[in-house]
Parts: sequence; C-alpha cells; structure tokens
Amino acid sequence: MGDAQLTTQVLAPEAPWVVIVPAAPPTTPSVALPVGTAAPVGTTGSAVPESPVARTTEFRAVEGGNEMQSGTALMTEAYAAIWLCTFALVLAGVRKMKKLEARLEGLADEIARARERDAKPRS
Amino acid sequence: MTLSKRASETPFLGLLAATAASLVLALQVIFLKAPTEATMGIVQKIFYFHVPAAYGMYLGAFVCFLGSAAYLARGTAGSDALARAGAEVAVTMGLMVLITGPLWAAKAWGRYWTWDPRLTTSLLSVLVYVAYVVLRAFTGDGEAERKFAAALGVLGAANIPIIHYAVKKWGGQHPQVISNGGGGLRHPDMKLALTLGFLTFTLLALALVWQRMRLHLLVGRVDALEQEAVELGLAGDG
Repeated sequence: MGDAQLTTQVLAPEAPWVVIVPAAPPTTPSVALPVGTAAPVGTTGSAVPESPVARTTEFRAVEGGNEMQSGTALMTEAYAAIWLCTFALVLAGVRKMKKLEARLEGLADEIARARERDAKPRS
Repeated sequence: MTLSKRASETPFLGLLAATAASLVLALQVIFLKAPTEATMGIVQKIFYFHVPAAYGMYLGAFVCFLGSAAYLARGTAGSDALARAGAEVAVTMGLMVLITGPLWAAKAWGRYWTWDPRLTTSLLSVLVYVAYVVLRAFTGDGEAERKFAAALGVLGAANIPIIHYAVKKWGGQHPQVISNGGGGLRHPDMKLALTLGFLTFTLLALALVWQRMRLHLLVGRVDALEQEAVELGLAGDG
C-alpha cells in the first residue's frame, strides 16, 4: 500500500474533523480477457480481484453472497432437462417392453397350439 | 409375473433402487449442503450433474465400443444389443451435456454457445452416436446393417479421447476445474456433491444400458418367434 491513493471523506458538514481513508482497491481485474471470452454476467460481486485464469481453474465457496434469479432459472431448466431426457428414455423403453412381452406371449401360445395341432394326427 | 421372471429381474430392480437412493442423496447434498460458488452463484450447481453426465456419455460410448468390437469378432446378438444400448445411453447423456452446458455458459460466459474445441468435439461425438441410433432405427436389422453400425461404434469411440484432451491440446475457454492442473473444488461439500453426482450417473448409465439391452434382446426373441410362426404357416398378423 506504499503508493495507495488517499481520499478524504467529510463525515458530516458540521463536523470539525476529517478522516483520511485509503481508496478501495478496484473490484474488477484490469487484465484483458482472452479473445472470445465474455465477461461473466451477473456475478455475485466478490470483493477479491481475480484473474480470468483463476476463474476457469477453480471453484470457491461464497461467504453469504446474494444470488440472482436468472441463475436459479437456468439451473432449474438444466435439472429439468436432465430428468426429462432420462425419464423419456426410461418410459419409452418400459412401454415398448410391455408391448413386446405381450407379443412374445401371444406368439409363444400360438406356436405351442400349432405344434400341438400338428402332433395330434400323427399319434 | 412368474416367480422365475421376478427372480431374474431382482438385480435390475436392485440397481434401480441404488440409483434412486444415490440420486436423492446427491440432490440433497447439492442443494442443501454444498455452498454456492463465489463467482458464478447458484448456476454453478449445474456442474454437479453436467460433468457426471459427460462421464456417463463416455461410459455409454465405451460400452458401445466394447459391444461393437465383440460383434465384429463373434457376431452374437448379445454383443449387438450391448453396442446399441451403449450408443443410446451415449446419446441421452450427450444431450444432457449439450443442454446443461449452454445453460451454465449463458450465465458464466454471457452466451449459450461458442465453438470452443471441447464443445465442438463433444457435439461431433454426440452426432456420431445419433447417426448410429438413427441407422439402427431406420435401416432394418440385417447382418450388413449390424456390421456397418459396429464399425461406426468402434470408430466413433476414437473421438472420446479427443474431447477429453481438447482443452489441454488446443486451449479454449472451457473450465478445467478437476483435471489438467485445475484448482479443484475448494470446499469439502463441493467435492462430496461431485462424488455423489458421479456415483448417481454411473449407476444411471448402467441401469439404462441394462434396460435398453434387455429391450433389444427381447426384440430379437420376438423376431425369431415371428419367423418360426411364419414357417409353421401361421398368419403373420404383426
């Protein structure tokens, strides 16, 4: 903090004193993003500056951060899509299997009857 | 349901029960225990099923590869059914990956899609397995079709290592949190959530492969009986 900028804040117009406080560090990185990388939209506003590289290589837990509704909606859509894909495949399979089992039983009965019919005249 | 049939289904029902239990536990940990990610917020929770779904796609592709190679070597109906089931699971899991990834990216990158190497190779791989499934669905079930599909199943698996190492080889902006020197998950509950996600999707992929394989074997048995019925002079009423 050797060359940190200092700012003055007058706490109240009538106060006979002033408090000198250091300027807050920038909350956004000054490093340029890689080509083709969009800045994250609607982040939770972490006060710790970080590089774009760190953002793509680790996940950290937030300490009481606020969440945005759009993120919740996107997450809900994602989970709904996952289970929709799964249940669609499972239900389609179960329905087809029931049809096939019924067909299999019908065919087996028909074949057994036909064999029985064919066997009778010989005996 | 006969007693023997019920007994033969017991392992499958056990697998389904384990999958359901793992799913409930995973959802509980993801939404009630794992903390919100510092930069992205709640949308990062997509990660706990997005990555395991990608792993499930790899599993499906591997099963398809094994079944296809076995079919080319031995030509059994079981190996063909296994390959077909693997391809269907790869498509299902691949669709999950391709839907959930862009939903996460909409928030994290500000856009749904970019022609990043890993995204592009994943899309190509899913299209290979879609081609396999469409081929099997619309071209009949003859020996030539089965062999052609088996060749596709073997060659299609070649894309899987390319997807996996795409980020390492060609860069791109796809996150590398848990591989290739990424920083990892910085909270034990995040790690637990991801572990349960992997467990759930492993069980789910196995259950789906099992169900689809049984279905294809059943189709084969019905076809064989229909053929027998025709030979006996019974009317083929469909």
